[in-house]
Amino acid sequence: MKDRITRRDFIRASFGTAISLSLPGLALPKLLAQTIEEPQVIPDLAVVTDSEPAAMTRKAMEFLGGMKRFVSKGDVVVVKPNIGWDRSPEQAANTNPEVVAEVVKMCLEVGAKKVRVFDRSCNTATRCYEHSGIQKAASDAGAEVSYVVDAGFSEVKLPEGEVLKSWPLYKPALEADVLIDVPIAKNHGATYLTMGIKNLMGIMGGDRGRVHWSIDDKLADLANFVKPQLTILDAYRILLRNGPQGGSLKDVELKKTIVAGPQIATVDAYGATLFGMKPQGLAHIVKSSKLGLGEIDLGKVNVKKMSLG
Amino acid sequence: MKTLRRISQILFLVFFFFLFLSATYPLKIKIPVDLFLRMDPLIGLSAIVSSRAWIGSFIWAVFVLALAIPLGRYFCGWICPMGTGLDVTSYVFKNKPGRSYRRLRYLKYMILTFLLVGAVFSSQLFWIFDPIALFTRSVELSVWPIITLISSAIFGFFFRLLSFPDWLSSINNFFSSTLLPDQLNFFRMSGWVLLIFAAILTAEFVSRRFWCRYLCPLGALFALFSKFQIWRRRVSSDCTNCAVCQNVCKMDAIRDDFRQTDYAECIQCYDCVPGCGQGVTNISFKGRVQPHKFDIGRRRVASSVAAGLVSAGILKTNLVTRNQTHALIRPPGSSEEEEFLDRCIRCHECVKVCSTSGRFLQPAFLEGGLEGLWTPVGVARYGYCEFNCTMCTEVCPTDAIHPLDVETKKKWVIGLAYIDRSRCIPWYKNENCLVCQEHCPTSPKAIELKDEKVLHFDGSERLVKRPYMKEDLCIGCGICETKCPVAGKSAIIVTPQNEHRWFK
Repeated sequence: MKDRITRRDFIRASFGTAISLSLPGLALPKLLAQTIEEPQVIPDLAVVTDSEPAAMTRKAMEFLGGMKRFVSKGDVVVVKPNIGWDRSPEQAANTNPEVVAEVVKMCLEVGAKKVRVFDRSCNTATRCYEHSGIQKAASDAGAEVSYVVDAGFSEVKLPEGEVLKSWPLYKPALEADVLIDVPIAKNHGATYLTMGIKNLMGIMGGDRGRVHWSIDDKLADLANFVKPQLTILDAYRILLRNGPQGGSLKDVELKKTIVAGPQIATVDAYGATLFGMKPQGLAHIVKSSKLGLGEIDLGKVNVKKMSLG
Repeated sequence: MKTLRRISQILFLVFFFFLFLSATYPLKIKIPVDLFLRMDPLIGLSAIVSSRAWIGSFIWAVFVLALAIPLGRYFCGWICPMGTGLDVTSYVFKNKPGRSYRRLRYLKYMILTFLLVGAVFSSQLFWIFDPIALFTRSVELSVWPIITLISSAIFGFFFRLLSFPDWLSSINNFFSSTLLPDQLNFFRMSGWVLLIFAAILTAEFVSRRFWCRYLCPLGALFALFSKFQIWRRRVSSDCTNCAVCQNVCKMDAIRDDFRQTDYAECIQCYDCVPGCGQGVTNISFKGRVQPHKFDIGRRRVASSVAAGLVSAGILKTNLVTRNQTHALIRPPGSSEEEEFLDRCIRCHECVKVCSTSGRFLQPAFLEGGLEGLWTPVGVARYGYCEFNCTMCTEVCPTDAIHPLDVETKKKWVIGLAYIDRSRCIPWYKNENCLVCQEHCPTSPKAIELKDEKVLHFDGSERLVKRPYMKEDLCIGCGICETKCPVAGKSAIIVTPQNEHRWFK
């Protein structure tokens, strides 16, 4: 006899309960039926809309089975937001600080030993960390926020890399037990959009400019090597034009959306639809999907959607 | 009093370095970081004479100079960071007062006259000799890079050794956001600046305070005011001619009868008071003021006036080609070029703050002509002008760079980028790149990408995103040039075309 209920047992049991309850449930209020059905299947993708950044982030993680599914007790977690630009949160060039803070909190709640937050900025790091609001929000939430230091980069071979075979990568990011990619959804000149996959460039050292030649293939190789366990896409505000750093509030749309999932390409694929784009038209997402980083045909993806509005 | 003087020297030196280190992002300090430069009457005189305008920030300097009437060269002995630097050097190496070259004393007055005459004719050379500017510049350009190199090496070593512990990150974070830059600093010209600085320090081995005795024009300016000095060294009639005082005087200010003092040389250091074997020397405010004799000599004055005229002639009629004057990218808020050259005293405070933000500013060599030597210029291949940053405009003691608010600065045009299509990857290679467009900070972007169908040289057709400049949007910040991934010379280059300058 097992003395613990495993996840499988739990799903099986609740499935049974749901079936038995669904018969009288036809007459019951819809709300009740929903609460019973919820724990049955963990979706591939959680999409939460119409609320505040922190609340949506928490809800999305609930749908995915909670942070405990990704982070175990004693883990060292790296939360990798976009802190690339000397811009304020309203300008939607960096990840929303409240989203970052909430992710940090959730990691610590399930017993992470420590949570580290960093990004290799494009503008002066001190400016970006401060003006993005992430430095304060994340350290208040309990994270160790640090500037990226040159000493942290060492040349790493990417054995499965097709185009990107070797590149200096940031050691503290690679050595983490869990890497959580927390990008913001933005327009970008080279890749059309920058989300989870592109955000991983923040752990690349060297002359990143050169990554931009055949960038799509290189980004896919990088994502395939790094394989973040979880991607949480901040689309609270999205940047429609003049990406990736924007500047004008006219280019920002308040989308109030959080997309989260374990498959980076799937998250990005859904993110593309927020801009009215087809993921199939974005080469770096297509390539990543081909490398096994997630289904991008959203028809085949189990999406759990909810509006908190 | 000697101890008090030493304490004062150390405190002012520490204060100097504190202000120096405070000239960094985020520059929230309430005290102006260029306070020492603003206190310097020579810099005030320079800026005011050569720009023919009163500059309010020099009210401090007036006060400092006025104090010289009762106290003589107190500044040299008690405050000047250069003087303290020299004293520290001599203290460390246990230098003796050294040789005496009394005839050379006139040199400093000649230099002062030379500079003043030049300034009247708008050839501003104060920057070469002013000790505060010289000291600030030397520390910034030649000492500071070494410190950043060492600190980053130490951090790097321990980061690797201890595999990136968080406590070390916290220390690194603290320093990066306060005192040290978050990256290495390198400057052009640092070798030359170091050479001059080293020469001045080395002269300490010939005679102590060699610089202050014979060369310093600021010392000369204070000396001119020493005529009515009332706080003076006095020797009572009990003097036994033991010569101890003369042997300890680092300024060689004590005459051969040991009783009289050259007040124009005395820096009120008090070394002679406790040194006096008989205890008959004191420095006090007593008795009638007797103006001491003081004569530079007509010929010396005449020759330095002539030298000043010649220097103005050489600098101002020096053939500066269009190629040169038009090659310089000046910091945002810079005065128009003539005015800029009149005012800039090459203290490199702007370069210091910039090195903690975009790392754009560097000292110029001869690209702006002889007159432009060591003035701050933007070198976009190395760094760029940070879009939201106004720090360089806030630290200029002479207003060569006029203070700007952030919104004005964001629209302030310092140049224009042009694309070198023979080097730009989408243009010559028909491959996507777009790093310049990604980094362009203006909104809308000054670099626009156009999808173009092009015939590749192998006969195939390709779809390429090619960058185009929108001239009316470019502010010349240079981040495109900095980040351009083409090796060597950038494929997008900023020139001062369209630049905007500050007019009075």
